[in-house]
Amino acid sequence: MNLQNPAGLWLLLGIPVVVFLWLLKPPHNRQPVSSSYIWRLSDLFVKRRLSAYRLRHWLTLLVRVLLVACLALIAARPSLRLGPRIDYIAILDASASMRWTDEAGVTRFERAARQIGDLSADTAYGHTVSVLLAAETPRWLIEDGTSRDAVEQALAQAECGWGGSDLRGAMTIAQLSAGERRTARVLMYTDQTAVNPEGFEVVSFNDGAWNVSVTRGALTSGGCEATLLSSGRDATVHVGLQAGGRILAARTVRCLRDQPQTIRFDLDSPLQDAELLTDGGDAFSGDDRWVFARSAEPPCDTLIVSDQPLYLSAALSAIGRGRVDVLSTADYAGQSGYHFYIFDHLLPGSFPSDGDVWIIHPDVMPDGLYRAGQSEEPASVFTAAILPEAESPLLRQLQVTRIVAANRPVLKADPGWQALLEADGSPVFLTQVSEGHRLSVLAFDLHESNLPMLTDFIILIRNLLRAAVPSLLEETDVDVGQPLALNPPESAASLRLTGPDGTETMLSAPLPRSLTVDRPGVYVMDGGAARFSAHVPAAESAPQPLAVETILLPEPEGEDEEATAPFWPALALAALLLLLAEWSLYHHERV
Amino acid sequence: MKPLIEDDLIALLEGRDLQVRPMLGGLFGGNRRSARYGTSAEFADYREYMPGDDTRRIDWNLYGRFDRLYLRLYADERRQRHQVMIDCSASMAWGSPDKRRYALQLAAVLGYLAVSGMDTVRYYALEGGECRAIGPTVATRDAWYAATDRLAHLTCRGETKLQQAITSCPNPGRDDGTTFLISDLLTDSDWKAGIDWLLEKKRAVCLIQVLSPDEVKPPLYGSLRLLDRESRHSHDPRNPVLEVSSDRLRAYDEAYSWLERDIRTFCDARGVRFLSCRTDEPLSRMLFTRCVEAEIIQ
Repeated sequence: MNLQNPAGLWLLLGIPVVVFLWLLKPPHNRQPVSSSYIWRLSDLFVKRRLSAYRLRHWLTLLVRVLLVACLALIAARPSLRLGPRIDYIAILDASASMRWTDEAGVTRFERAARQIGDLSADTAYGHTVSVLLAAETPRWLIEDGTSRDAVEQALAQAECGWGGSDLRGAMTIAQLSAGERRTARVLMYTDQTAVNPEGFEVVSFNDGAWNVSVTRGALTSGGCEATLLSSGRDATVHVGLQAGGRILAARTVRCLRDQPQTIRFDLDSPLQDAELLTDGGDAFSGDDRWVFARSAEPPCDTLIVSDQPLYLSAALSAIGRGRVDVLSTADYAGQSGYHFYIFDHLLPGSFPSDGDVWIIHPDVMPDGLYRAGQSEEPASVFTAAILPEAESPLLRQLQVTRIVAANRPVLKADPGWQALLEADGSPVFLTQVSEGHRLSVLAFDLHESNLPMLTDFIILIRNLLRAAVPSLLEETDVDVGQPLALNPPESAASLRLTGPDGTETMLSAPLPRSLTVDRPGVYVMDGGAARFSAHVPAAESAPQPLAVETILLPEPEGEDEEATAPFWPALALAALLLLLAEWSLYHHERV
Repeated sequence: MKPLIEDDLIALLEGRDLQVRPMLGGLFGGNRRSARYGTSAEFADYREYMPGDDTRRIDWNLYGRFDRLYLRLYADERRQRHQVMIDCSASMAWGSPDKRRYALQLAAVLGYLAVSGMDTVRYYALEGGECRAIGPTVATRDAWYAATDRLAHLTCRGETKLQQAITSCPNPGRDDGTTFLISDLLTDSDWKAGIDWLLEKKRAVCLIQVLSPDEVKPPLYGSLRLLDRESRHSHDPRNPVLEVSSDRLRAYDEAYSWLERDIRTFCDARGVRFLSCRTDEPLSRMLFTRCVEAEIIQ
């Protein structure tokens, strides 16, 4: 125990004063009475109780001395030493997987917050608690909290997210903060397991709960497909596909533990908006559904200039984005007014200025492309690979495999061209953007290849149409917390975003090029011009172990601060009890 | 000066009488049945004739019936001689209401009832070691009124040695009345010996103790030097220094209760009527309830 104000002990000098006053009997008051006969007679009776009287008499003095001693100690402000003061830094994982519930229905996040609240009880002894909320962007909930109430109040305002969490970022912030403190202790409250953590402690909430999730979903031409995952144990999952409140199909799937299971629903007509549901009962319901949001694309009028337009017109008709007109190479005379032009075996003298252009196997290469020879193989079977460094919207969802083609020229391209596909080191599909329009070139003959037979053909044409007339949304599926690319029209002054709960947000000019949402559900833009669905990231449905992390805490400098527990409340209570005892003895004397 | 007894109380006393026991002695011409047989007109009893008896009293009717001689006996009515002794020590001049006045009122009432019953009463003041008569014997109402005036001027001071004062009574009489002793009995003096002396004179004795409320439940506390009103100086042994606490007050209660029991035991053993009264008790209630219960008044 140490005394924060030793000068308070001077009050102990009051003890001899109390004793002196007690010994110093006050002068007797002279009291006339009619007769002292009975008073003198009472001597016989009072002696029988003399011992109790004397005991009570001395007890009063003792209580008063103890009271003075108590007050002196309170003034000296004693406290108990509890060792060095510790600054706790708690990292609270706020990812969607922390919403998993236990059998009592309490989420991991709530349990973690409760444990941090219990930890903050130590603030009564001088320790501090700081809480870092590890959401998509880590932020401090409270720094250097010195009371349990303050910490719990900050925790009460925290909300678990629906996306991922930047635990590494949070650990970095914690490391920087710990470096500024004398004695810091970092604790991470998460459901991820950390392997060999050094410099910090992991409080794991991974209780091995069972969870079934729909981790991926995609609309196909004849229905949809999805990927199911059962974490924790094998499970038989009932899956239903519904649209407009009506069950379209249902299936029972046996999912093995931690092994993704792909299912497919084939329907008679293409799906518009639909929803895939599992039967729930697991630890987390946020990932039990997948909403397919189809967003209408703006029309893209296409002109095909080809003597063999069959494949092209069929593909464009299947995609169904606007008017498709066909002209023979002889009939083309510079027509315009289209969003997309396809020139098959033809290089026009001048490119249309009002749309994108795709040239297929031209006899004469456009500027910047040079024939460097011809493939020696009359019908070369080549694997066209996507160039590793190529990034282009034309490559979205393209899974190029084996393309068989004849007459594949060997090309060289100027730096202004971007090669997207190559075969044997020679580009076979290139693109460039000039004056706001895209010019793409397919080097080999489409009609002497198997490309029109592949699904990549439809995907490639769709990508070309989207590049020509982009949709407001690049994608219709996005993970919570991840950016969604936007293509707002140049004329648009604002965009209205309606969330799953009906709340509306106005995006004003300058309009953003990307959008991030923080909760799952279907979002509608501009009153229905575009729709997209946000889902819980797949990583939150099956948390993976955290990679080895180390927080290096610098060597502390200076002296440790002491954590102390104030002692005066107990002394104050004792003083109050002594006061009551003294009052009781005094009152007993008077009664 | 305010009269000791108001007229309305005197009116209430009409029809009341002292409760006395038959005495052998007394003055002739009274209204009290004597223990003897006398010459009143009231037939009392028969007795067998013995040689020497007055033959005029022989009841010849009985003789004719029983063939034996019987005398007719008649009640003897005498006038009793009562005494009222008042303790005039300083302790009697205490309290609120005043003990002295209360005692004098009691003395006046007793005297009135005695006179109303055709008895006589004489008042005595016990002062120091003497028993001083207060005026002549009171036999009539007019004399009683004069006696009450004298009583009203009685003062209480100094110390009274009760035993010495009682036994110095100049004319105690013998078997002819009741002696009423009015005192607070808060004295070291052996008053019991005085009572015994009166009983030896074959007087009926009635002891009335008058106390004030603060003598029964003293409202004192603290470290005190008590000053007895009958003490001569501050260091008189009768002026003790006390720590008056709850224990001391409890002991005082026990001492008071013991004193009362002691007095009552003494009186019961000797056939002395005893009444302890407090000055805060209304005089009318005391007289017509307590005194009746104590067989002092009927």
